[in-house]
Amino acid sequence: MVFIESSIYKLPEEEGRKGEMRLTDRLLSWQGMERCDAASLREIYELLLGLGVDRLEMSPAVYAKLRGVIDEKRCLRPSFIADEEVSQLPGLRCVYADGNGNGNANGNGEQTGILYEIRVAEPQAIPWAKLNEKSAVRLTVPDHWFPERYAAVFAQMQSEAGGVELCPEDHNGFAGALAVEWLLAGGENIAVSFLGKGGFAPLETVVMALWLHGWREKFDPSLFTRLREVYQRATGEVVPAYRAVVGKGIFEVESGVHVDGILKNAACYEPFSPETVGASRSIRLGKHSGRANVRYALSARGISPRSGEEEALLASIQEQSRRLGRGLLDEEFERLLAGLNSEAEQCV
Amino acid sequence: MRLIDSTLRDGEQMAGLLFTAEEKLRLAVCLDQAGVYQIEAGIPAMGKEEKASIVKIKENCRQSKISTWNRMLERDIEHAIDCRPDSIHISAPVSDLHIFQKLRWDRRFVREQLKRCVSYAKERGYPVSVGFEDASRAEWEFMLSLARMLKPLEVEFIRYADTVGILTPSRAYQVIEGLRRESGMEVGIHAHGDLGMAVANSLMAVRAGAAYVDVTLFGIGERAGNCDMRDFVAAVQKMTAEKFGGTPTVEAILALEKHCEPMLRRAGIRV
Repeated sequence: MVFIESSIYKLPEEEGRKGEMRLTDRLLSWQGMERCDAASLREIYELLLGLGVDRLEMSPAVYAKLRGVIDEKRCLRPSFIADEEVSQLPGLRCVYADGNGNGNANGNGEQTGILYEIRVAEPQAIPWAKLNEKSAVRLTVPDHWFPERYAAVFAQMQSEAGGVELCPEDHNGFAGALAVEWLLAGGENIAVSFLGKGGFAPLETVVMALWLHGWREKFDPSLFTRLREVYQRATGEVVPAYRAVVGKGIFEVESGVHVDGILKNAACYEPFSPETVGASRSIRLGKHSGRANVRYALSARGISPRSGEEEALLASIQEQSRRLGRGLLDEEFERLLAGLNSEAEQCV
Repeated sequence: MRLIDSTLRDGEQMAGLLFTAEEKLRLAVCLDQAGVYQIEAGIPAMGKEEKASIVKIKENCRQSKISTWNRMLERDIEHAIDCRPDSIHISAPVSDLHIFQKLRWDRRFVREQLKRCVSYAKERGYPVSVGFEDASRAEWEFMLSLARMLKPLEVEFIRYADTVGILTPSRAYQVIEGLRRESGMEVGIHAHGDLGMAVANSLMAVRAGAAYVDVTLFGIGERAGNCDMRDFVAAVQKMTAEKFGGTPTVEAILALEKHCEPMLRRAGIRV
């Protein structure tokens, strides 16, 4: 197997991988986006570019709504496929054009601004000889190449067709892994899709994997939370709360051990800070809470606990959490606090 | 390769989620009947309710080994022994970040304390496994020195915990293969899904020789969760010709998930 040349003993951010790469996002070509309003599509378009996406692929319907307000050179749209091209290029799935040339011949008679998408099911079907004939090629591959076959294929692609754009399809949940492996192995071009829409590698996990591996300047991941919100509003779809990187619940923490660690140094239990992806942390109370949770909750309300109060409050929280069969909501904690204060006043 | 289910421990640590003692018992019995090799039943140091729940689980499971998760403290090991589990798991933070900033200890103290805790449990007749917490951010030589210290103590296996989910597949292969080869010990993988790669990393760990894989139902757990049992088993079945013991079928896991789903719904968790 071929593995990335990096020390396994260092923190990922110390590796400093900052090579050139081009990232294409396919969200706006997913048919689910066609029903969205133009203002939301424009906002999504701007957020994707702001995040560090280089090119956006879009369907004709989405393009029609955005035409005139977007940078044509950064858009990739399906173009005409000639019958002879289909017969000459096995696996040819689509031809795209961008605003750089729209398929026109340049002075040397070569077409510019054209991307040929070739879909292959098995490594042996890759038309190696044809890859370098075209000005730009996207190779769309299934994720069942993971885990056994991808490394050898990627190595061959590096040596024989390094400029190819890889687009892993997500049939088994491994497209993100393939995309990250491709880039860490030196691949320069990748096609992904926010939330994996359309069945591709998720933009958000690929970007954060790269960010952790040192590509800090290229990306602004702080826009991810805003992008999720706009996407939800535009499509009516709710993104699962525990979805990697963009789920609104991923920075909620209840476990006492974790809260204790986070309050000492948040990096103990977070791969990146909530602020890095434009989110915020929430410390919750429940059965798994410890004294650190209680201290935090009281301090956030400007309360200094008296001796023994923390322990009593923690016991009450855990008891109520068991009774409810879930963690406590903020208002339930407030009521618990008010009840305890009232008891204390009566004792006085 | 054997599955260790951590739904009742790491899974339940998902913020807002709680299983009652009856629910834990019911889930454990289902996991046992489905043929899961080991069930991590809880954290005894959490208190008497948790300990009573673990005891009940131990009494009612026939096939699966019942283990408990414990901090590297003698008093936690004592709580574990009260539950009479089949094996005791001791978690040892191994990255400098965790050692210096969370525990406020130093490496030497970690080494001595780990040895004390393992010996304490072993002397009382319990099989022990050790989890290297935050292993993916640890200094390699230090982690390896701990593994080499544990081998003569007859620790069953080392769990490599990617605590904050930053592993990538090729790195997962490297570290598991390296740890196995250089320590001479059996190694397990505990993956988190912060980069959406918990299943991919676990699969690569198995290819590198991991003998144990931690999973949870629906992949529930801290932040973006753990390695999803059904996705992992489906991937293993689909992508490799190998047959593994201690691994339920996808159909059996679907039935398990039906038991678990109402408890997640109650906590407002959509799966």
